[in-house]
Amino acid sequence: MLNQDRIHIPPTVLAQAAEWFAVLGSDHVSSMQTQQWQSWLEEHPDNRAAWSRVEYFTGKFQDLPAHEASAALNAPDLERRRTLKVLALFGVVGLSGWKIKNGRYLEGWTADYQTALGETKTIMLADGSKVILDTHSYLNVTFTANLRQLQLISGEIYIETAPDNTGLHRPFVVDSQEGRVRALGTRFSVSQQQGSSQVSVFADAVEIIPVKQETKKLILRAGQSTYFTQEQIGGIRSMRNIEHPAWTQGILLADNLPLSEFLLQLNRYRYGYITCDPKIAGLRIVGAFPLNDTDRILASLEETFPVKISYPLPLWIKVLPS
Amino acid sequence: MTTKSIDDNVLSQLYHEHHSWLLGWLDKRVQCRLLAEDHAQDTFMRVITSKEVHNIREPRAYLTTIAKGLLVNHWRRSAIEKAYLDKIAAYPEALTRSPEENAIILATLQEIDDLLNELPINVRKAFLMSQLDGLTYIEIGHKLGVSDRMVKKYMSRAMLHCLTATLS
Repeated sequence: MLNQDRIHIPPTVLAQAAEWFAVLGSDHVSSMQTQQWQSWLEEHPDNRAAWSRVEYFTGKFQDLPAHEASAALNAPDLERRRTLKVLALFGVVGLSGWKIKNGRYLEGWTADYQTALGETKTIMLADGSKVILDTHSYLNVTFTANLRQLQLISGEIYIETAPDNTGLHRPFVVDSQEGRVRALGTRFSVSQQQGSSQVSVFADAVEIIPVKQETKKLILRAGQSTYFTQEQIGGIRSMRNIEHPAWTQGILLADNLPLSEFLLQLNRYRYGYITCDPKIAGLRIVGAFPLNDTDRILASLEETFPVKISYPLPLWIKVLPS
Repeated sequence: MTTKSIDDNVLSQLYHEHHSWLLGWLDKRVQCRLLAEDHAQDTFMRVITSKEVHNIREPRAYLTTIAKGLLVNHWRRSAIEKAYLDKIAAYPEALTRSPEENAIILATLQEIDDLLNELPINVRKAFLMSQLDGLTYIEIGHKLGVSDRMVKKYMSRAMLHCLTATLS
């Protein structure tokens, strides 16, 4: 039935249907327009068939939970990933045009350095600086004559800079999607989150420059942590006396962390999704948990707290009140 | 008959010479052997169905181009799934939905994404804002920095794309 409809509708009728769809969705639809649409519908069975296709699509949207669907279809990753798809398709169509330019900014999986879920990795850069990548992180490294540039595509990195060994005194910077973090000393970490970057300084200082507000610079000093967006820099928080981020030692550190937040952190180190029942989301977690066995961490939650863990789907873990 | 056997020969040669290389290439990117094997298999399936086997001049470039397309698809799907499940976690009432309901919603989301993926970003956004968020053309225009007349054009373009994409 549907197939018949599909085959026989001429393209011009489809274009008319699409146009009517746009007109009827306008903020002000006159009764004249409604009448014209009605008579268009009745003009020909093709018109009706085309309109039923329009309704089929709008119906799909009506059945969806709007909030979740909107979040899912506007996931930030999708924008980055479409560009390559178009390029890739282009490559397939034009058999001769193979040289696909993988813009270094496009994709995690073309990144110079990457870690899998649950993995951390230490790399030594050409200038002697040390970088540790946290779980599921993507990093590009570009050293030029006047700049040492790291580009954090996603995830988190911890850096111990070395004095430039070429005698050039090139600035050392980490670029995230929100802006630039310039090292004014040695030890700091940068984390790329959704729509913001988090910076923590463990020794000396860094300068933060949001990409759209380059005049709003901020110097962040040892023991301080903040986040910034493309336009502004958030409030400064002071960290407890720590020398390194706990994850560089393979530890997930919870210092009075709500359970929901703790599970989000834990989720970064394992496949699948962990959700938390709102009734227990506020339970406070304190402790140092070794990240090499995240199953064990979950099990220990069950032992220590009034929670139970269920597995409604493979790769989906639910934490519920017991 | 003869054409087919030539194809088969070319194909089996292609497979033998490049399958394990492709597997390695994929494995490095997805860092999961099983997933890499799936994608490698899918890549060759695409080659078979494309009927382009004897037109391939640079096999590895061809295979990686197809594999990249598959990877992007895979990642888009995971991104949607992740964003959806993240959102569920934030909305207590959504937790009461059954796994089946969630699976159906996810499938619909992925179908919509496949459909809208090739549209210019503003057209896609306008269409989603109107259909999901219930925004008016003027509100959408403000968000995208275009006139409401332009939004109307976007809407018509997006719908025409849906109508024609499913016809081919």
